[in-house]
Amino acid sequence: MNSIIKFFGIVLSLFYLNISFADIIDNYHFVSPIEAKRFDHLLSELRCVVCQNQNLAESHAPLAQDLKKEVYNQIRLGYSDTQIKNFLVNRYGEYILFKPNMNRITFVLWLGPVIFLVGSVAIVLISVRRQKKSHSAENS
Amino acid sequence: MIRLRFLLPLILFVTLVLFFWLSLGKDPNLLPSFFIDKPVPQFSARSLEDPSQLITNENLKGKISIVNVWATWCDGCQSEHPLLIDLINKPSVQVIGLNYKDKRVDALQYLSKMGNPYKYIIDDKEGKLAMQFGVYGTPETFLIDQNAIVRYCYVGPLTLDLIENDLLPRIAKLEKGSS
Repeated sequence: MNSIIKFFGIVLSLFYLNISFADIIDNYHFVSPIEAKRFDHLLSELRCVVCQNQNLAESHAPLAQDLKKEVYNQIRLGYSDTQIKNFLVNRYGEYILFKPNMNRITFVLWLGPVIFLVGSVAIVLISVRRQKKSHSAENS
Repeated sequence: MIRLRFLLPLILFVTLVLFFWLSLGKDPNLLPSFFIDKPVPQFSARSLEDPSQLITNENLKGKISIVNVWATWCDGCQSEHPLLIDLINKPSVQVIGLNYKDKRVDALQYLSKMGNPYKYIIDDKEGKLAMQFGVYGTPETFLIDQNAIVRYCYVGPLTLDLIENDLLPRIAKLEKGSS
């Protein structure tokens, strides 16, 4: 009895012994796990221009599938992440990146909230100081 | 000094209203074409009608081209189709179709039934050429000048209003520009 259990135990554990040299994401096979990670990462950074709140990994839109294939091909061909992003930005615009590049135009987009925050804090501080001054002026 | 403190929020508010006014008028789903005033990317594609024939940038030179991205599975394309047929029959303008991710048989059948406005039709079965143009929805229509520079891109089905009040004047301008 014991030896039968042991036997099946060994057989079962063999199922867990996977030596795979290929990383599979969906139907995309990569030989190197680095490429697979890059693919994953890029897809999450790229917006689906049809379903614009989803990234390329999530979207089922046919164009998203095409762009996924294009990204895959370019990774396999040896293009860098920057080159791939530039390829897409040249055709679809900065909007395809969830994190737009910093340039003259997106400058406002990136810094706007910061300026707003600093400005509002400054205004609050100034008005609080003014109130204090007028209070102390009244009290003295 | 008091006046400035009151004025500042008002100025900010007016600025915000201005931005909203300008942006809300636009369709947020539309992306501007990034090829405006840039030359058409180098391409070489098979003709839908005669697969042994190639259509390249050479076909664009010397004439004003309207490149219309369409497919038989796209409802909007069907609605604009009769307008394309009625579109100008000017000798200086040619209408080129880009059949996007479609079946050649279906496309040819559709054209023989509904009429063929296209001088050439590119067979873009896998959408690869359209991707070079940044196409993200059908139908899309590009206006390209005599030097193969993209001048205008419209996403969505063409309407009579758009053709008469937008497209035709632009074409007229391009025609004047060359002479």
